[in-house]
Amino acid sequence: MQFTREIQRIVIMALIALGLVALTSTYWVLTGERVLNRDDNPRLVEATARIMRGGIYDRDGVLLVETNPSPTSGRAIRTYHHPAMHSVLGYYSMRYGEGGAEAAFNERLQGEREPSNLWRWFERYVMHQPQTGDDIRLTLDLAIQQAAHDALDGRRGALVVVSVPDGAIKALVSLPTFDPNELDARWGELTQDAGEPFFNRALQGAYQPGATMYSLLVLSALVNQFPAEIAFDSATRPIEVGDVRLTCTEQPPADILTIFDALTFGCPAPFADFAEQIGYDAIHNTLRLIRPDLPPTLSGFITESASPERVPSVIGLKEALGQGDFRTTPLEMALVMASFINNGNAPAPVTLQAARPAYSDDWVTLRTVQPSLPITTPENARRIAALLRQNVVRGTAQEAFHADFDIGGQSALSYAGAGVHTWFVGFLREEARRGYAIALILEDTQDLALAATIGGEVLRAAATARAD
Amino acid sequence: MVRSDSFTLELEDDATDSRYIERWLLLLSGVFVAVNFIALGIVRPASIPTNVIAFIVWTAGAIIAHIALNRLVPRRDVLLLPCVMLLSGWGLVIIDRLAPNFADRQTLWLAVSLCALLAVVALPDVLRWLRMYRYLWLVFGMSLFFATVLFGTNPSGFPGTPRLWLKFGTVYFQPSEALKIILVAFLASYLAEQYPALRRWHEGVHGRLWALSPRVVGPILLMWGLSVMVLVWQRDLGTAVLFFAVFIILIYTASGSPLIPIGGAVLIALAALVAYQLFDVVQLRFDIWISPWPESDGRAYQIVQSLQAIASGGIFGQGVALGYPNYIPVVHSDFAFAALAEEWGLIGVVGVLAVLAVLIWRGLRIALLRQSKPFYVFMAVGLCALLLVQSVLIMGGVTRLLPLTGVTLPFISYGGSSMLVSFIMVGLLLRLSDTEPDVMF
Repeated sequence: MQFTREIQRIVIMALIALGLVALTSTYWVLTGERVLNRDDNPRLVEATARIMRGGIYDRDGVLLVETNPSPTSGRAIRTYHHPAMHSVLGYYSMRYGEGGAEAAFNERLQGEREPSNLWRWFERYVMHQPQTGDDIRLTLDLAIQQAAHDALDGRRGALVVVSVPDGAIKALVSLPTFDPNELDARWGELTQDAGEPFFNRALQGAYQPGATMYSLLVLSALVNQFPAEIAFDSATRPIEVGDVRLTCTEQPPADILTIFDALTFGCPAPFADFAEQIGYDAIHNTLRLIRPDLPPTLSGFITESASPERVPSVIGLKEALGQGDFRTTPLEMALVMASFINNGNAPAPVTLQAARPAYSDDWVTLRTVQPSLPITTPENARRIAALLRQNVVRGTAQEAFHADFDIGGQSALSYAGAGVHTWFVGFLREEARRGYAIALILEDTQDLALAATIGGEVLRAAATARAD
Repeated sequence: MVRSDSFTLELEDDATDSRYIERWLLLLSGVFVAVNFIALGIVRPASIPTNVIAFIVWTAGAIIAHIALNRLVPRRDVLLLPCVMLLSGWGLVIIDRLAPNFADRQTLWLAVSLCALLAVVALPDVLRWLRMYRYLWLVFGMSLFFATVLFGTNPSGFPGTPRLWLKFGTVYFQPSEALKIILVAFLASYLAEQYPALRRWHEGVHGRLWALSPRVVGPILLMWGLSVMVLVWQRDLGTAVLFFAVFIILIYTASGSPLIPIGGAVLIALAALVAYQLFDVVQLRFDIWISPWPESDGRAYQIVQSLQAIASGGIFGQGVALGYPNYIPVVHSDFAFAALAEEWGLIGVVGVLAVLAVLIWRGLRIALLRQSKPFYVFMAVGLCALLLVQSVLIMGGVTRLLPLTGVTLPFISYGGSSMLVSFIMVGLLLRLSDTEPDVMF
């Protein structure tokens, strides 16, 4: 027939054309990984948006954060339940990443990126089950955290409670903070906020220690076997340090004081005289004992101080009295306090207690014994602890006193440029080498009584929570 | 006409067997469509009411068409209807999944298209009308084209988009779709008369002069001019390429000269080169075809998303409504094939290609069987060429085998005009395939 050849050729051309389409499609499938891993692939974002991040629980198993799929889009919705926990939990955002505990334990919360076995592969890629992360249980105690949050009542500052001897962080508050449930909507506003809500003051805030430095000077005296009976004249006289005029926090009964008495009443003059006598190198050596050059690490959290050079190479009177270039963080001060009721050893801080792997009902304990940092001898620690108890009974931190609890502590002022911050550092001892240490800083206030009151309340809340 | 009783009986038995084949194939298609609608309903319960309506319409359409065709064209090609019903059912699932707001409208268009198919089959003299009044049809087609140039609009309403539609109340119609059939009918009719002249090319100087006479060449130049006009005035690259490619295939069939497709390819390449210099739209399509990745967030966003969708689908696909094809702009229309690749995978791609291959093979088989009537041959070849070229243009564009041309994938993409015209083409093929005993061989 006259058209047969042409029609047959058209059939062949049609098959070739359709075959080429099939081959091209196959090419894209076979080279899919290269195409799919490009940053402009929205499927990567969609996959991330559907990750069922693990929940975060407090030490008693109270649910703090959870993820649920949106009924409409299937995307994961992260919900933070307790405002008191916001500052420590941080945030998780598709757009802005992670912060706080969300960042510290991100890998575990995200779950395995690639399925570890055939069944998981089947679930992920055939049944389209989303990537699912592990649940984690923190050492934080919602009751203590809530008490601390309530006590701070929105004031700008930070608070850390550490359990002794295990170093478990029981409360970690930094204010002002933000609501991670509204992060995406308020990101621009939050980043412009002068209060720096993303800045974790408890871990990164670098503050002059102020009069809390006096405890370290006493430690220096003990380490250097400075005679305890040496008293200093004109102990109540004010000390001028730059533009700052330092005076006694509490009026002592006499004008001649040892440095141990001076610690109780917060008088700077004996410490200034002591520093002159013992020499600033000796004080510098004591600072090295507590290793402020090596800030404590808190598994995954950012603990690098806002002021990296916190220990000047040479210190003088200003630094010795806690008003100079030496700076410390609330976490660091809490650990120093912890060492005073822990035979002189500062425990290594931890926040992660256990994890529950995805698809499992069983919790796996993760806490391991971390080496503590020896700061001083048990005897020295015992003596400083006794002095701090005196502070609570009749010294600078009387508002923290409670007859039913063994509490020691110190309130102190820190002059930072135009502002004045108030510290309370202390501990609550329950039995030998067991209790809680606290460090609290309130920014832009000189209310020592308030700091001591808050410190005492939170320590009692911690003791009560453990008793429960 | 003399027939023996035994021969008639044998043919009737064959026809009965064929009907069973069509029935079973339709049933299998129905199962496939139903399973996919159920899967869609599971993933997206809100779509269930639309799914049910669409499936009922599809099923009723398939049953009615099968019964009606048994009466109207009992000796038709029995693979054509199952192929188009499978593709159109698959298309309904895809549209329901990609653009639920358009699902009801697409279902309505399916019903209208099936009615049109049956009407084409039922009209007793439709093929004769197409052949006898070819210039009238051409005038009608050109009128539609110029009406589009003057009054054309775009349903999206975006400024700068091609105005390829005419609006009738709330309904948009794309005249270039109708123009496709008119083009094929005109060329088929014309070539049925003139093909001997084209075949005299090899008969020496005299034959070549005859073949190059204005009477022969004139209408060819007319169609070529139409393609150019579509490109120049409407910036409709896809339709222009489609018209020209179909035109080349038909001329090749008529002339039998291998120089025609070669020359056609050269002309397309030259036209592309000129169009690249003159038209922004052509320049854009070529630039992003050659190098899409640097502009993946800009001009090449659509094609890059398409390639990522295909890659994401893998071999088995993500599953119905479990992929993310909606990241491709205008996915339900131009990129339905990419969505299919993402959710049904390479298996789905091969499936669609196989069904299209069967459809085109059966259409061309009609041409082979009806060589005693050249008009039928050219009609069948032309209609198959339309389906083939249009399918390859869009699938090739979506997979970056070819530059993007912005045509629909027949039976699958959203688009009432496209579906209506595609069904009419199948109706014509069914008519052409209804072989009479005296021409069977």
